[in-house]
Amino acid sequence: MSDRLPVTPMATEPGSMSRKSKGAWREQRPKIKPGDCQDCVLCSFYCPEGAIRVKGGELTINLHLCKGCGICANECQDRIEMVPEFEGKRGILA
Amino acid sequence: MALCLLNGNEAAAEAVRLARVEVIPGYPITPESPLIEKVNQFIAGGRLDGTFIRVESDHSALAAAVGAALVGSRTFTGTNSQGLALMSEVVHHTAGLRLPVVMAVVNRALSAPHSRFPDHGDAIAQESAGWLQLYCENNQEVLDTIIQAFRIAEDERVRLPVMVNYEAYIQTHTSEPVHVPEQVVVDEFLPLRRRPVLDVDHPAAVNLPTDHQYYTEFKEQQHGAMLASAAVIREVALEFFHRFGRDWKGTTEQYRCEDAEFVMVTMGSMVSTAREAVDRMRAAGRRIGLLKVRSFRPFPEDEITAVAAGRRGLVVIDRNLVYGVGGALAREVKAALYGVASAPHIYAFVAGLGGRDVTVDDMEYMVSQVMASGRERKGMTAFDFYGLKTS
Ligand code: SF4
Ligand code: SF4
Repeated sequence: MSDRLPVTPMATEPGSMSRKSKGAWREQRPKIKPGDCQDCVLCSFYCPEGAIRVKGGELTINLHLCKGCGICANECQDRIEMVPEFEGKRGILA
Repeated sequence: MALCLLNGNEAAAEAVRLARVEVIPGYPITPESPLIEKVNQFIAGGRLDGTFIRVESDHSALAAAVGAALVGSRTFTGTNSQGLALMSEVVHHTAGLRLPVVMAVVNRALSAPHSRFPDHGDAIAQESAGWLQLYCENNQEVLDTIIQAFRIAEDERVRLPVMVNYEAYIQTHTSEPVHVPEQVVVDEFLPLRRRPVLDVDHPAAVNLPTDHQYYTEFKEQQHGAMLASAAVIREVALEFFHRFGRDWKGTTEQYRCEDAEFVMVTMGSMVSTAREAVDRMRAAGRRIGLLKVRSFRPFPEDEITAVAAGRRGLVVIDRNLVYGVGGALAREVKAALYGVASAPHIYAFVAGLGGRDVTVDDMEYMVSQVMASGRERKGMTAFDFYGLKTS
């Protein structure tokens, strides 16, 4: 094992974390509400995981990368709301 | 080589200059402040081509040292007591990131109650942080050990940070004759081996989130380096002796242990006192020796068991207190002798806390009490507070 690990704990490939799914961390997920989008891209700027793409008023959220923090919904309450990831008995809080 | 009258802080600063340290972040704290002042005098006077970084806390001082060491600079800082406690988070980072930072720790009692006086408790509180811990008995050893510490820390087999411990006031503010070696000799002994971890041409993320898959393996690697460092400390001390003529032995030193029935075991400034006590008791015909523990981390278990063989007793004197247990050195000595057939009795004293003076007379008294009673109080947590006031 030691010959495979670096001496200093480090990742030498930039962006390698983006290949790791954060989907399993979520207790809630962003849901796009119907309505007009301003195309201001604030939501995508604030998303810490780079999960949001906005193009021509079209919003896409990559749920493989989204960790469910809810920052996007806080920034744009008109278009995004957080809903529980699990319903009923599977729900962690519900 | 020049013979100078230097206190411990000045001796440490001379070592920093001679080691050609490149980055010195510092947040001065009593009684370590004069060390930082002296280093800055060297920089201002053009005698040290290094950068001093002013920071807003000890935590930031070590964080800046981590950054400098990550890009491969030879890095040094100093602190003690509350400052070391505040640094604690980064103390662990430095070792976990395997950075060869050298730090002077001017052992001073931890609050509360507030005290500015000598006590090893500050460094002992960091015993599991993954740094090597070397303890010095006099100011010459401070200078020599800081130079050695860079060699040890930067060795490929080690790559761990080193704390060089010397005591508040007893060493920081007491001047002694100290041999200051020539720059050229130090340069030959201590070439700069730059090993940058971060490099702008090859971006990388250090200290990345590590889950259960690899955390244990990183820790095993770190533990292995700590174990391997014992041989490196001995090797470096031997090479130092050949070049500079002063022999600090390595991890421990036996003083007049031949045919000794009882061996005193201690570290730091109490070692120099214990040498006198041994000489005096030897002159009176008592068979007493001394084991100086120079390296508390790594702990030289093999040398403890070797010196213990055939003795009647070990008298361990600690200038620190682990609450509910006793002195940390005594605890380690007991653990080293666990399961050893015919291990000697161990008599543990906690003495000199918060700077209470421990004199040659005190040491002689401790040993004679032990010899007179011969009764060992068994158990991990058995010890005596020496000189406890009862009224
Ligand atoms: S979803 Fe909201 S924040 Fe995002 S681009 Fe549209 S209007 Fe802006
Ligand atoms: S919930 Fe958080 S991670 Fe997910 S899309 Fe919104 S901002 Fe990004």
